[in-house]
Amino acid sequence: MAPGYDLAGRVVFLTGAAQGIGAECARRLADRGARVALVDLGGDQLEQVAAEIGEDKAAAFEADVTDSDQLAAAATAAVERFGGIDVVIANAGIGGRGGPVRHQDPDAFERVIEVNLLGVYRTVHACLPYVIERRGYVLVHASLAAVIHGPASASYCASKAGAEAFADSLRSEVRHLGVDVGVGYFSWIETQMVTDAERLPAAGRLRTALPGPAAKTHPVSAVGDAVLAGIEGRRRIVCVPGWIRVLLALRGVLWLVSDRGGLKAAPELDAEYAADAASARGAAKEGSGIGT
Amino acid sequence: MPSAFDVSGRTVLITGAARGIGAECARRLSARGASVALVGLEGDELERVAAECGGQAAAFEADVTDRDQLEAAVEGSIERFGGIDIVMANAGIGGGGPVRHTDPDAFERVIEVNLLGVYRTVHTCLAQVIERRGSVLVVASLAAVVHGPGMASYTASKAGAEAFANSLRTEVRHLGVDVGVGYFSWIDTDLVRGADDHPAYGRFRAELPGPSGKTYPVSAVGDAVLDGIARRRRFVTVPSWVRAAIVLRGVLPLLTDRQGLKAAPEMDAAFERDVAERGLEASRPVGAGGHAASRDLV
Repeated sequence: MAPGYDLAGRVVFLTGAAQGIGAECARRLADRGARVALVDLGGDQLEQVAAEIGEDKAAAFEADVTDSDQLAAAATAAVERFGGIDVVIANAGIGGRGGPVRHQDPDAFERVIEVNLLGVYRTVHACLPYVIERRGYVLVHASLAAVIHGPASASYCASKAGAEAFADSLRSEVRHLGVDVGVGYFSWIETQMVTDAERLPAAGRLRTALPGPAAKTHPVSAVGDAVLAGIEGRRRIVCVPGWIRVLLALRGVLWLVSDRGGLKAAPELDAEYAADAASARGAAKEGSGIGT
Repeated sequence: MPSAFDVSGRTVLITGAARGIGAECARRLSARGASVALVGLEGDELERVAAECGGQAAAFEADVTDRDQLEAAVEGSIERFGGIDIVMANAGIGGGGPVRHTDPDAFERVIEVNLLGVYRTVHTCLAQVIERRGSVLVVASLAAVVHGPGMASYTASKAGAEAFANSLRTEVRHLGVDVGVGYFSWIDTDLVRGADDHPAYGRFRAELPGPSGKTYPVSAVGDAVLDGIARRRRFVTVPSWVRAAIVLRGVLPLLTDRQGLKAAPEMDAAFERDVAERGLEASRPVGAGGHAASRDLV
Protein backbone atom coordinates (compact mmCIF):
# COMPACT_ATOMS: atom_id res chain seq x y z
CA MET A 1 0.00 0.00 0.00
CA ALA A 2 1.33 3.42 -0.89
CA PRO A 3 1.80 5.62 2.14
CA GLY A 4 -1.09 8.04 2.47
CA TYR A 5 0.67 10.32 4.91
CA ASP A 6 4.27 11.03 3.98
CA LEU A 7 6.61 11.29 6.95
CA ALA A 8 9.29 13.29 5.18
CA GLY A 9 9.63 16.70 6.80
CA ARG A 10 7.03 16.01 9.49
CA VAL A 11 7.76 16.80 13.11
CA VAL A 12 7.17 13.98 15.59
CA PHE A 13 7.07 14.61 19.33
CA LEU A 14 7.95 11.38 21.13
CA THR A 15 8.08 10.61 24.87
CA GLY A 16 10.10 7.80 26.41
CA ALA A 17 12.55 8.30 23.57
CA ALA A 18 15.77 7.39 25.40
CA GLN A 19 15.37 3.65 25.03
CA GLY A 20 13.27 0.69 23.93
CA ILE A 21 10.29 1.27 21.68
CA GLY A 22 10.70 5.06 21.83
CA ALA A 23 14.33 5.07 20.68
CA GLU A 24 13.56 2.55 17.94
CA CYS A 25 10.67 4.67 16.63
CA ALA A 26 12.84 7.80 16.73
CA ARG A 27 15.54 6.21 14.56
CA ARG A 28 13.07 4.73 12.11
CA LEU A 29 11.08 7.95 11.77
CA ALA A 30 14.26 9.92 11.14
CA ASP A 31 15.23 7.38 8.45
CA ARG A 32 11.97 8.26 6.71
CA GLY A 33 12.86 11.93 6.77
CA ALA A 34 10.90 13.03 9.83
CA ARG A 35 12.33 15.40 12.40
CA VAL A 36 12.01 14.08 15.93
CA ALA A 37 11.61 15.88 19.24
CA LEU A 38 12.93 13.34 21.73
CA VAL A 39 11.49 13.64 25.21
CA ASP A 40 12.61 11.70 28.25
CA LEU A 41 13.86 12.13 31.78
CA GLY A 42 17.22 13.24 30.46
CA GLY A 43 20.66 11.75 30.85
CA ASP A 44 23.22 10.28 28.53
CA GLN A 45 20.96 7.79 26.77
CA LEU A 46 18.63 10.49 25.47
CA GLU A 47 21.55 12.58 24.22
CA GLN A 48 23.04 9.49 22.59
CA VAL A 49 19.89 8.72 20.63
CA ALA A 50 19.73 12.36 19.49
CA ALA A 51 23.43 12.40 18.53
CA GLU A 52 23.10 9.14 16.64
CA ILE A 53 20.26 10.58 14.53
CA GLY A 54 22.07 13.90 14.06
CA GLU A 55 21.16 17.40 15.09
CA ASP A 56 19.59 18.34 11.76
CA LYS A 57 16.83 15.83 12.39
CA ALA A 58 16.71 15.30 16.16
CA ALA A 59 16.61 17.38 19.32
CA ALA A 60 16.46 16.16 22.91
CA PHE A 61 14.15 17.75 25.47
CA GLU A 62 14.30 16.82 29.12
CA ALA A 63 10.84 16.43 30.65
CA ASP A 64 9.07 14.22 33.15
CA VAL A 65 5.61 13.12 31.98
CA THR A 66 4.38 13.41 35.56
CA ASP A 67 4.94 17.17 35.30
CA SER A 68 2.62 19.04 32.93
CA ASP A 69 4.70 22.24 33.10
CA GLN A 70 7.80 20.40 31.92
CA LEU A 71 5.82 18.81 29.10
CA ALA A 72 4.32 22.13 28.04
CA ALA A 73 7.84 23.61 28.02
CA ALA A 74 9.13 20.69 25.91
CA ALA A 75 6.26 21.13 23.42
CA THR A 76 6.95 24.87 23.15
CA ALA A 77 10.67 24.22 22.68
CA ALA A 78 9.99 21.58 20.03
CA VAL A 79 7.78 24.04 18.14
CA GLU A 80 10.48 26.72 18.39
CA ARG A 81 13.09 24.30 17.09
CA PHE A 82 11.09 22.62 14.31
CA GLY A 83 8.26 25.06 13.58
CA GLY A 84 5.35 22.91 14.77
CA ILE A 85 4.25 19.38 15.71
CA ASP A 86 2.54 17.03 13.22
CA VAL A 87 2.54 13.80 15.19
CA VAL A 88 2.68 13.04 18.90
CA ILE A 89 3.58 9.56 20.13
CA ALA A 90 2.72 9.20 23.83
CA ASN A 91 5.01 6.29 24.48
CA ALA A 92 6.62 6.76 27.90
CA GLY A 93 5.66 3.91 30.18
CA ILE A 94 6.88 1.94 33.14
CA GLY A 95 6.19 -1.60 34.27
CA GLY A 96 7.57 -1.48 37.76
CA ARG A 97 7.93 -4.57 39.89
CA GLY A 98 4.26 -5.38 39.54
CA GLY A 99 2.80 -7.80 42.01
CA PRO A 100 -0.57 -8.87 43.34
CA VAL A 101 -2.52 -5.89 44.67
CA ARG A 102 -2.18 -7.13 48.23
CA HIS A 103 1.62 -7.30 48.10
CA GLN A 104 2.34 -4.23 45.97
CA ASP A 105 3.56 -1.02 47.56
CA PRO A 106 0.77 1.59 47.09
CA ASP A 107 3.25 4.25 45.98
CA ALA A 108 4.51 1.91 43.24
CA PHE A 109 0.94 1.18 42.12
CA GLU A 110 0.04 4.85 41.89
CA ARG A 111 3.29 5.70 40.13
CA VAL A 112 2.40 3.36 37.23
CA ILE A 113 -0.96 5.16 36.77
CA GLU A 114 0.79 8.55 37.03
CA VAL A 115 3.25 7.75 34.23
CA ASN A 116 1.28 5.43 31.93
CA LEU A 117 -2.14 7.06 32.07
CA LEU A 118 -1.86 10.62 33.34
CA GLY A 119 1.49 10.97 31.55
CA VAL A 120 -0.16 10.00 28.27
CA TYR A 121 -2.96 12.50 28.84
CA ARG A 122 -0.50 15.29 29.71
CA THR A 123 1.66 14.55 26.67
CA VAL A 124 -1.27 14.58 24.27
CA HIS A 125 -2.84 17.61 25.90
CA ALA A 126 0.41 19.61 25.65
CA CYS A 127 0.78 18.85 21.92
CA LEU A 128 -2.87 18.85 20.86
CA PRO A 129 -3.23 22.48 19.69
CA TYR A 130 -0.16 22.07 17.46
CA VAL A 131 -1.30 18.70 16.09
CA ILE A 132 -4.75 20.15 15.35
CA GLU A 133 -3.14 23.12 13.58
CA ARG A 134 -1.37 20.70 11.24
CA ARG A 135 -4.21 18.20 10.96
CA GLY A 136 -1.82 15.55 12.23
CA TYR A 137 -1.92 12.26 14.08
CA VAL A 138 -1.86 11.11 17.72
CA LEU A 139 -0.50 7.69 18.67
CA VAL A 140 -1.05 6.43 22.21
CA HIS A 141 1.07 3.45 23.18
CA ALA A 142 -1.11 1.14 25.21
CA SER A 143 -0.40 -2.58 25.35
CA LEU A 144 -1.95 -6.00 25.00
CA ALA A 145 -2.43 -5.47 28.76
CA ALA A 146 -5.23 -3.03 27.87
CA VAL A 147 -7.14 -6.06 26.57
CA ILE A 148 -6.05 -8.99 28.75
CA HIS A 149 -6.05 -8.28 32.46
CA GLY A 150 -3.94 -10.87 34.22
CA PRO A 151 -2.71 -11.31 37.78
CA ALA A 152 0.18 -9.41 39.40
CA SER A 153 -0.12 -6.54 36.95
CA ALA A 154 -3.28 -4.68 38.02
CA SER A 155 -1.64 -1.24 37.95
CA TYR A 156 -0.18 -1.84 34.49
CA CYS A 157 -3.44 -3.23 33.06
CA ALA A 158 -5.48 -0.39 34.60
CA SER A 159 -3.11 2.25 33.24
CA LYS A 160 -3.08 0.79 29.73
CA ALA A 161 -6.86 0.16 29.58
CA GLY A 162 -7.30 3.75 30.72
CA ALA A 163 -4.89 5.08 28.09
CA GLU A 164 -6.74 3.16 25.39
CA ALA A 165 -10.15 4.49 26.45
CA PHE A 166 -8.72 8.02 26.58
CA ALA A 167 -7.47 7.66 23.01
CA ASP A 168 -10.81 6.21 21.84
CA SER A 169 -12.77 9.13 23.30
CA LEU A 170 -10.29 11.63 21.88
CA ARG A 171 -10.57 10.03 18.43
CA SER A 172 -14.23 10.95 18.04
CA GLU A 173 -13.56 14.45 19.37
CA VAL A 174 -10.88 15.48 16.89
CA ARG A 175 -11.76 13.69 13.66
CA HIS A 176 -13.77 16.71 12.48
CA LEU A 177 -10.63 18.80 13.04
CA GLY A 178 -8.68 16.57 10.66
CA VAL A 179 -6.77 14.70 13.36
CA ASP A 180 -6.59 10.90 13.56
CA VAL A 181 -5.87 8.91 16.72
CA GLY A 182 -4.25 5.49 16.89
CA VAL A 183 -3.59 3.07 19.74
CA GLY A 184 -0.54 0.81 19.94
CA TYR A 185 -1.14 -2.70 21.25
CA PHE A 186 2.08 -4.60 21.78
CA SER A 187 2.73 -7.98 23.33
CA TRP A 188 6.14 -8.74 24.93
CA ILE A 189 8.79 -6.72 23.11
CA GLU A 190 12.54 -7.17 23.57
CA THR A 191 13.15 -3.94 25.45
CA GLN A 192 14.99 -2.99 28.59
CA MET A 193 11.65 -2.76 30.42
CA VAL A 194 10.81 -6.38 29.67
CA THR A 195 14.31 -7.78 30.32
CA ASP A 196 14.64 -5.79 33.57
CA ALA A 197 11.36 -7.25 34.80
CA GLU A 198 12.52 -10.75 33.94
CA ARG A 199 15.55 -10.38 36.16
CA LEU A 200 13.34 -9.78 39.18
CA PRO A 201 12.63 -12.93 41.15
CA ALA A 202 8.84 -12.96 40.91
CA ALA A 203 8.06 -10.64 37.98
CA GLY A 204 10.27 -12.80 35.80
CA ARG A 205 7.62 -15.49 35.84
CA LEU A 206 4.83 -13.29 34.53
CA ARG A 207 5.71 -13.91 30.91
CA THR A 208 7.01 -17.46 31.02
CA ALA A 209 3.85 -18.67 32.79
CA LEU A 210 1.82 -17.78 29.69
CA PRO A 211 0.80 -20.37 27.11
CA GLY A 212 2.15 -20.63 23.53
CA PRO A 213 2.43 -17.48 21.41
CA ALA A 214 1.41 -15.32 24.36
CA ALA A 215 4.82 -15.94 25.96
CA LYS A 216 6.86 -15.19 22.85
CA THR A 217 8.97 -12.04 22.75
CA HIS A 218 9.17 -9.92 19.60
CA PRO A 219 12.03 -7.76 18.32
CA VAL A 220 11.68 -4.04 18.83
CA SER A 221 12.18 -3.59 15.07
CA ALA A 222 8.74 -5.15 14.56
CA VAL A 223 7.27 -2.29 16.57
CA GLY A 224 9.26 0.16 14.44
CA ASP A 225 7.72 -1.36 11.30
CA ALA A 226 4.21 -1.27 12.75
CA VAL A 227 4.50 2.32 13.99
CA LEU A 228 5.77 3.59 10.62
CA ALA A 229 2.92 1.84 8.82
CA GLY A 230 0.48 3.06 11.48
CA ILE A 231 1.43 6.71 11.08
CA GLU A 232 1.61 6.54 7.30
CA GLY A 233 -1.83 4.94 7.20
CA ARG A 234 -3.09 7.12 10.09
CA ARG A 235 -4.42 3.87 11.53
CA ARG A 236 -6.67 3.34 14.47
CA ILE A 237 -4.98 0.09 15.51
CA VAL A 238 -1.21 -0.48 15.54
CA CYS A 239 -0.27 -3.94 16.81
CA VAL A 240 2.63 -6.36 17.26
CA PRO A 241 2.25 -9.21 16.60
CA GLY A 242 -0.57 -9.16 14.04
CA TRP A 243 -2.75 -11.69 15.89
CA ILE A 244 -3.55 -9.05 18.50
CA ARG A 245 -6.08 -7.69 16.00
CA VAL A 246 -8.07 -10.92 16.36
CA LEU A 247 -7.97 -10.65 20.15
CA LEU A 248 -9.26 -7.08 19.92
CA ALA A 249 -12.30 -8.22 17.93
CA LEU A 250 -12.92 -11.05 20.40
CA ARG A 251 -12.19 -9.09 23.55
CA GLY A 252 -15.73 -9.39 24.89
CA VAL A 253 -15.38 -13.15 25.32
CA LEU A 254 -11.62 -13.46 25.57
CA TRP A 255 -11.62 -13.72 29.36
CA LEU A 256 -13.33 -17.11 29.09
CA VAL A 257 -9.98 -18.39 27.82
CA SER A 258 -7.41 -15.95 29.18
CA ASP A 259 -8.57 -16.08 32.82
CA ARG A 260 -7.68 -19.76 33.04
CA GLY A 261 -3.95 -19.17 32.79
CA GLY A 262 -4.11 -16.29 35.24
CA LEU A 263 -6.08 -18.24 37.81
CA LYS A 264 -3.67 -21.16 37.50
CA ALA A 265 -0.57 -19.00 37.93
CA ALA A 266 -1.99 -16.78 40.68
CA PRO A 267 -1.32 -18.86 43.83
CA GLU A 268 2.34 -19.35 42.95
CA LEU A 269 2.78 -15.71 41.91
CA ASP A 270 1.17 -14.65 45.16
CA ALA A 271 3.62 -16.74 47.20
CA GLU A 272 6.63 -15.57 45.20
CA TYR A 273 5.74 -11.90 45.51
CA ALA A 274 5.08 -12.33 49.23
CA ALA A 275 8.58 -13.79 49.64
CA ASP A 276 10.04 -11.11 47.38
CA ALA A 277 8.33 -8.32 49.34
CA ALA A 278 9.61 -9.81 52.62
CA SER A 279 13.19 -10.01 51.37
CA ALA A 280 12.97 -6.49 49.89
CA ARG A 281 11.84 -5.22 53.28
CA GLY A 282 14.80 -7.05 54.83
CA ALA A 283 17.20 -5.55 52.29
CA ALA A 284 15.76 -2.08 52.83
CA LYS A 285 16.28 -2.47 56.57
CA GLU A 286 19.92 -3.34 55.99
CA GLY A 287 20.25 -0.17 53.96
CA SER A 288 21.06 -1.85 50.67
CA GLY A 289 17.94 -0.49 48.94
CA ILE A 290 16.02 -2.04 46.09
CA GLY A 291 15.85 -1.29 42.42
CA THR A 292 12.74 0.21 40.92
CA MET B 1 -27.65 -22.94 42.09
CA PRO B 2 -26.35 -23.42 45.67
CA SER B 3 -27.66 -21.22 48.45
CA ALA B 4 -26.76 -17.61 47.83
CA PHE B 5 -24.27 -15.59 49.82
CA ASP B 6 -26.51 -14.11 52.50
CA VAL B 7 -25.73 -10.47 53.30
CA SER B 8 -27.59 -10.65 56.59
CA GLY B 9 -25.09 -10.10 59.39
CA ARG B 10 -22.32 -9.18 56.93
CA THR B 11 -20.58 -5.84 56.92
CA VAL B 12 -20.42 -3.84 53.69
CA LEU B 13 -18.22 -0.78 53.27
CA ILE B 14 -19.51 1.58 50.56
CA THR B 15 -17.75 4.67 49.26
CA GLY B 16 -19.68 7.50 47.68
CA ALA B 17 -22.55 6.59 49.99
CA ALA B 18 -23.91 10.11 50.47
CA ARG B 19 -25.88 10.09 47.23
CA GLY B 20 -27.08 8.22 44.19
CA ILE B 21 -26.08 4.62 43.68
CA GLY B 22 -24.09 4.42 46.92
CA ALA B 23 -26.94 5.66 49.11
CA GLU B 24 -29.46 3.41 47.33
CA CYS B 25 -27.28 0.31 47.80
CA ALA B 26 -26.67 1.17 51.46
CA ARG B 27 -30.41 1.36 52.15
CA ARG B 28 -31.15 -1.83 50.24
CA LEU B 29 -28.33 -3.83 51.82
CA SER B 30 -29.35 -2.57 55.24
CA ALA B 31 -32.92 -3.70 54.62
CA ARG B 32 -31.53 -7.19 53.94
CA GLY B 33 -29.83 -7.21 57.35
CA ALA B 34 -26.32 -6.10 56.42
CA SER B 35 -24.33 -3.68 58.52
CA VAL B 36 -23.23 -0.77 56.36
CA ALA B 37 -20.21 1.50 56.72
CA LEU B 38 -20.99 4.63 54.72
CA VAL B 39 -17.95 6.46 53.43
CA GLY B 40 -18.05 9.80 51.63
CA LEU B 41 -17.19 13.48 51.52
CA GLU B 42 -20.45 14.99 52.68
CA GLY B 43 -20.84 14.35 56.41
CA ASP B 44 -24.41 15.60 56.82
CA GLU B 45 -25.66 13.67 53.81
CA LEU B 46 -23.94 10.50 55.05
CA GLU B 47 -25.60 10.85 58.47
CA ARG B 48 -28.97 11.32 56.78
CA VAL B 49 -28.49 8.12 54.72
CA ALA B 50 -27.28 6.26 57.83
CA ALA B 51 -30.45 7.31 59.66
CA GLU B 52 -32.59 6.11 56.71
CA CYS B 53 -30.85 2.74 56.84
CA GLY B 54 -32.40 2.08 60.19
CA GLY B 55 -30.36 -0.99 61.08
CA GLN B 56 -26.66 -1.15 61.73
CA ALA B 57 -25.22 1.81 59.86
CA ALA B 58 -22.39 4.23 60.54
CA ALA B 59 -21.05 7.20 58.61
CA PHE B 60 -17.35 7.86 58.08
CA GLU B 61 -16.27 11.06 56.40
CA ALA B 62 -13.30 10.29 54.15
CA ASP B 63 -11.91 11.39 50.80
CA VAL B 64 -10.92 8.54 48.46
CA THR B 65 -8.04 10.66 47.19
CA ASP B 66 -6.50 10.41 50.67
CA ARG B 67 -5.19 7.02 51.80
CA ASP B 68 -4.89 8.05 55.46
CA GLN B 69 -8.51 9.13 55.60
CA LEU B 70 -9.59 5.85 54.01
CA GLU B 71 -7.51 3.89 56.50
CA ALA B 72 -9.15 5.76 59.36
CA ALA B 73 -12.60 4.98 57.91
CA VAL B 74 -11.73 1.29 57.58
CA GLU B 75 -10.38 1.16 61.13
CA GLY B 76 -13.52 2.90 62.35
CA SER B 77 -15.69 0.36 60.51
CA ILE B 78 -13.79 -2.56 61.98
CA GLU B 79 -14.08 -1.10 65.47
CA ARG B 80 -17.79 -0.58 65.02
CA PHE B 81 -18.78 -3.78 63.19
CA GLY B 82 -15.93 -6.19 63.89
CA GLY B 83 -14.68 -6.50 60.31
CA ILE B 84 -15.50 -6.01 56.63
CA ASP B 85 -16.93 -8.76 54.40
CA ILE B 86 -17.69 -6.78 51.28
CA VAL B 87 -16.23 -3.62 49.84
CA MET B 88 -18.16 -1.65 47.25
CA ALA B 89 -15.84 0.88 45.61
CA ASN B 90 -18.49 3.17 44.26
CA ALA B 91 -17.36 6.78 44.71
CA GLY B 92 -17.16 8.44 41.33
CA ILE B 93 -17.41 11.79 39.61
CA GLY B 94 -17.80 12.89 36.02
CA GLY B 95 -17.45 15.99 33.94
CA GLY B 96 -15.10 17.63 31.56
CA GLY B 97 -15.92 17.88 27.90
CA PRO B 98 -13.63 17.44 24.89
CA VAL B 99 -9.99 16.97 25.89
CA ARG B 100 -8.96 20.23 24.30
CA HIS B 101 -11.49 22.27 26.28
CA THR B 102 -11.11 20.50 29.63
CA ASP B 103 -9.21 22.08 32.49
CA PRO B 104 -6.28 19.72 33.21
CA ASP B 105 -6.89 19.79 36.97
CA ALA B 106 -10.49 18.71 36.42
CA PHE B 107 -9.37 15.92 34.07
CA GLU B 108 -6.86 14.59 36.57
CA ARG B 109 -9.31 14.81 39.47
CA VAL B 110 -11.66 12.39 37.69
CA ILE B 111 -8.82 9.84 37.37
CA GLU B 112 -7.79 10.48 40.99
CA VAL B 113 -11.27 9.73 42.32
CA ASN B 114 -12.62 7.11 39.91
CA LEU B 115 -9.50 5.02 39.36
CA LEU B 116 -6.95 5.69 42.10
CA GLY B 117 -9.80 6.11 44.60
CA VAL B 118 -11.16 2.69 43.67
CA TYR B 119 -7.70 1.16 44.04
CA ARG B 120 -7.15 2.82 47.44
CA THR B 121 -10.56 1.76 48.71
CA VAL B 122 -10.08 -1.87 47.69
CA HIS B 123 -6.45 -1.98 48.84
CA THR B 124 -7.35 -0.61 52.26
CA CYS B 125 -10.13 -3.17 52.79
CA LEU B 126 -8.53 -6.16 51.07
CA ALA B 127 -6.88 -7.84 54.05
CA GLN B 128 -10.24 -7.80 55.88
CA VAL B 129 -12.17 -9.10 52.88
CA ILE B 130 -9.63 -11.91 52.39
CA GLU B 131 -9.85 -12.87 56.06
CA ARG B 132 -13.60 -13.25 55.71
CA ARG B 133 -13.54 -14.76 52.22
CA GLY B 134 -15.85 -11.98 51.14
CA SER B 135 -16.19 -10.05 47.92
CA VAL B 136 -15.24 -6.88 46.11
CA LEU B 137 -17.55 -4.85 43.88
CA VAL B 138 -15.98 -2.16 41.72
CA VAL B 139 -18.51 0.24 40.25
CA ALA B 140 -17.29 0.96 36.73
CA SER B 141 -19.75 2.02 34.04
CA LEU B 142 -20.91 1.34 30.51
CA ALA B 143 -18.29 4.02 29.80
CA ALA B 144 -15.63 1.37 30.49
CA VAL B 145 -16.89 -0.38 27.35
CA VAL B 146 -18.09 2.43 25.07
CA HIS B 147 -15.65 5.32 24.82
CA GLY B 148 -17.53 8.30 23.48
CA PRO B 149 -16.53 11.93 22.95
CA GLY B 150 -16.67 14.61 25.63
CA MET B 151 -15.87 12.26 28.48
CA ALA B 152 -12.30 11.04 27.99
CA SER B 153 -11.37 11.36 31.67
CA TYR B 154 -14.48 9.39 32.66
CA THR B 155 -14.05 6.60 30.09
CA ALA B 156 -10.32 6.32 30.93
CA SER B 157 -11.00 6.14 34.66
CA LYS B 158 -13.76 3.55 34.29
CA ALA B 159 -11.86 1.37 31.79
CA GLY B 160 -8.94 1.51 34.21
CA ALA B 161 -11.11 0.57 37.18
CA GLU B 162 -12.56 -2.37 35.25
CA ALA B 163 -9.09 -3.66 34.25
CA PHE B 164 -7.93 -3.27 37.84
CA ALA B 165 -10.86 -5.37 39.04
CA ASN B 166 -10.26 -8.01 36.36
CA SER B 167 -6.61 -8.42 37.33
CA LEU B 168 -7.50 -8.50 41.01
CA ARG B 169 -10.12 -11.19 40.38
CA THR B 170 -7.51 -13.65 39.14
CA GLU B 171 -5.27 -12.83 42.10
CA VAL B 172 -7.71 -13.46 44.94
CA ARG B 173 -9.95 -16.28 43.73
CA HIS B 174 -7.64 -18.83 45.35
CA LEU B 175 -8.08 -16.95 48.61
CA GLY B 176 -11.85 -17.36 48.43
CA VAL B 177 -12.60 -13.81 47.35
CA ASP B 178 -14.78 -12.93 44.34
CA VAL B 179 -14.59 -9.68 42.41
CA GLY B 180 -17.46 -8.11 40.49
CA VAL B 181 -17.67 -5.10 38.23
CA GLY B 182 -20.71 -2.85 37.93
CA TYR B 183 -21.56 -1.64 34.42
CA PHE B 184 -24.35 0.89 34.50
CA SER B 185 -25.80 3.02 31.75
CA TRP B 186 -27.45 6.38 32.55
CA ILE B 187 -28.95 6.15 36.03
CA ASP B 188 -31.19 8.77 37.61
CA THR B 189 -28.62 10.17 40.07
CA ASP B 190 -27.23 13.61 40.94
CA LEU B 191 -24.28 12.86 38.66
CA VAL B 192 -26.41 12.19 35.57
CA ARG B 193 -28.83 15.03 36.37
CA GLY B 194 -25.77 17.25 36.66
CA ALA B 195 -24.61 16.11 33.21
CA ASP B 196 -28.10 16.76 31.80
CA ASP B 197 -28.12 20.27 33.27
CA HIS B 198 -24.74 21.05 31.76
CA PRO B 199 -25.22 23.65 29.01
CA ALA B 200 -22.94 21.85 26.54
CA TYR B 201 -23.22 18.19 27.53
CA GLY B 202 -26.97 17.94 28.19
CA ARG B 203 -27.88 18.38 24.56
CA PHE B 204 -25.61 15.54 23.43
CA ARG B 205 -27.14 13.19 25.99
CA ALA B 206 -30.65 14.01 24.76
CA GLU B 207 -29.70 13.06 21.20
CA LEU B 208 -28.50 9.51 21.95
CA PRO B 209 -30.59 6.98 20.03
CA GLY B 210 -33.02 4.45 21.53
CA PRO B 211 -32.21 2.74 24.82
CA SER B 212 -28.68 4.20 24.90
CA GLY B 213 -30.18 7.59 25.77
CA LYS B 214 -32.67 6.31 28.32
CA THR B 215 -32.32 7.04 32.03
CA TYR B 216 -32.92 4.12 34.39
CA PRO B 217 -34.12 4.40 38.01
CA VAL B 218 -31.53 4.01 40.76
CA SER B 219 -33.70 1.24 42.28
CA ALA B 220 -32.75 -0.93 39.28
CA VAL B 221 -29.11 -0.62 40.35
CA GLY B 222 -30.13 -1.52 43.90
CA ASP B 223 -31.78 -4.70 42.57
CA ALA B 224 -28.77 -5.59 40.43
CA VAL B 225 -26.24 -4.98 43.22
CA LEU B 226 -28.21 -7.07 45.75
CA ASP B 227 -28.37 -9.90 43.22
CA GLY B 228 -24.71 -9.43 42.24
CA ILE B 229 -23.47 -9.63 45.82
CA ALA B 230 -25.78 -12.55 46.69
CA ARG B 231 -24.55 -14.56 43.69
CA ARG B 232 -21.00 -13.21 43.85
CA ARG B 233 -21.34 -12.26 40.21
CA ARG B 234 -18.63 -11.09 37.87
CA PHE B 235 -20.93 -8.80 35.86
CA VAL B 236 -23.48 -6.52 37.50
CA THR B 237 -25.37 -4.64 34.79
CA VAL B 238 -28.18 -2.10 34.43
CA PRO B 239 -30.03 -2.35 32.14
CA SER B 240 -29.53 -5.92 31.02
CA TRP B 241 -28.66 -4.99 27.40
CA VAL B 242 -25.34 -3.75 28.77
CA ARG B 243 -24.42 -7.43 29.00
CA ALA B 244 -24.71 -7.74 25.22
CA ALA B 245 -22.61 -4.62 24.76
CA ILE B 246 -19.86 -6.21 26.88
CA VAL B 247 -19.80 -9.39 24.80
CA LEU B 248 -19.75 -7.39 21.55
CA ARG B 249 -17.31 -4.74 22.77
CA GLY B 250 -14.63 -5.74 20.26
CA VAL B 251 -16.83 -4.79 17.30
CA LEU B 252 -19.11 -2.26 19.00
CA PRO B 253 -17.09 0.80 17.88
CA LEU B 254 -18.25 0.06 14.32
CA LEU B 255 -21.68 1.13 15.56
CA THR B 256 -21.08 3.55 18.41
CA ASP B 257 -18.34 5.63 16.77
CA ARG B 258 -20.82 6.89 14.20
CA GLN B 259 -22.97 8.56 16.84
CA GLY B 260 -19.89 10.01 18.56
CA LEU B 261 -18.42 11.37 15.34
CA LYS B 262 -21.78 12.88 14.37
CA ALA B 263 -22.21 14.65 17.69
CA ALA B 264 -18.61 15.78 18.17
CA PRO B 265 -18.43 18.99 16.08
CA GLU B 266 -21.45 20.56 17.73
CA MET B 267 -20.35 19.39 21.19
CA ASP B 268 -16.92 20.86 20.59
CA ALA B 269 -18.38 24.24 19.65
CA ALA B 270 -20.79 24.20 22.60
CA PHE B 271 -17.98 23.52 25.08
CA GLU B 272 -15.85 26.20 23.49
CA ARG B 273 -18.64 28.73 24.06
CA ASP B 274 -19.20 27.45 27.59
CA VAL B 275 -15.51 27.77 28.49
CA ALA B 276 -15.53 31.31 27.08
CA GLU B 277 -18.51 32.13 29.29
CA ARG B 278 -17.79 30.25 32.49
CA GLY B 279 -14.07 29.47 32.39
CA LEU B 280 -12.95 26.62 34.65
CA GLU B 281 -16.50 26.01 35.84
CA ALA B 282 -17.37 24.57 32.41
CA SER B 283 -15.25 21.44 32.86
CA ARG B 284 -15.75 21.03 36.60
CA PRO B 285 -17.12 17.63 37.74
CA VAL B 286 -20.92 17.86 37.66
CA GLY B 287 -23.60 17.40 40.32
CA ALA B 288 -23.43 17.93 44.07
CA GLY B 289 -21.02 15.02 44.54
CA GLY B 290 -18.78 16.26 41.75
CA HIS B 291 -18.77 19.72 43.28
CA ALA B 292 -17.93 18.31 46.72
CA ALA B 293 -14.92 16.52 45.18
CA SER B 294 -13.68 19.60 43.34
CA ARG B 295 -14.18 22.46 45.83
CA ASP B 296 -10.51 23.38 45.68
CA LEU B 297 -10.44 23.64 41.87
CA VAL B 298 -12.67 26.69 41.36
